Amino acid sequence: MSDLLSVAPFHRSLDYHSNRHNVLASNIANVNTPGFRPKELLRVEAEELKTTLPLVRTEHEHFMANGFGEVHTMTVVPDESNIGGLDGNNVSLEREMSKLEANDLRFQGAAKLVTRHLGMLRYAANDGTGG
Amino acid sequence: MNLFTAMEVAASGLSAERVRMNSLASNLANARTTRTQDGGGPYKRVDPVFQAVPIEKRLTEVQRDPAQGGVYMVEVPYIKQDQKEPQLIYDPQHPDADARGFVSLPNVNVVEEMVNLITASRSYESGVTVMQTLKTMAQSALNIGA
Repeated sequence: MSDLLSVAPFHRSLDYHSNRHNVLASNIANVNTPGFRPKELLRVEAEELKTTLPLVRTEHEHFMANGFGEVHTMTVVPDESNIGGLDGNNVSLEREMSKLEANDLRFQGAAKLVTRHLGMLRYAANDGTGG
Repeated sequence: MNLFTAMEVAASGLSAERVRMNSLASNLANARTTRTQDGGGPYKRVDPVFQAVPIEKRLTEVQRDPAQGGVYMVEVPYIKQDQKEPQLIYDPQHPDADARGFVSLPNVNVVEEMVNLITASRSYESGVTVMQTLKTMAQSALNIGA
């Protein structure tokens, strides 16, 4: 039940995708910069946050919550999967654009889920009379 | 299966076609070049070699999906020089003419290069179409039930 009441996981997802958009946009901006290596944003699960910050349930009837669930932090890493050009720049405009598009679609998916989710909450809050 | 795998594959095709365009431009620009930097004879036409690479090898950690396989991206491992004989044209006034008055011109056939140019441009277009179709598919998936 606690998952249903929280938009926090979606928030983190939207956050990640908007940050990744910035990283990919920076790659595209540097498509002609000699020696530039493209970057990629990785999502790293921060295990320690899960274990050191558990939520305590004081009453049996309270909603169950397992810590913060999947807590993620992000880290920028170099993307060495392309073959480089003569000037040491290995940005492929096409690849970055395709990643940007895919990232945009994932963002839209997450945003849609939030919309549906809030719609459900609104429906419940209005005694099932409004959506 | 990752929905965006095909997008990456299409993107690799676009990059490869762009490399082909570079080679074609070089061939056309040097269609009548009789000297090369290393003191060698006329310019020799260049042609990129396309190679299929399993998709797992070229994806970043974000994009990797253990369920995908059997799909190949394309990449250009190297660009090969065409060793075809140069064309001999009789022109004794030319500074690079040999003792018999023949000039070695590049082994570039301009008509052939123009045909390759059109092929490269069409292949690029088809890659873009694949990406646009995928985007439309994903958009309609998002709109299921809306």
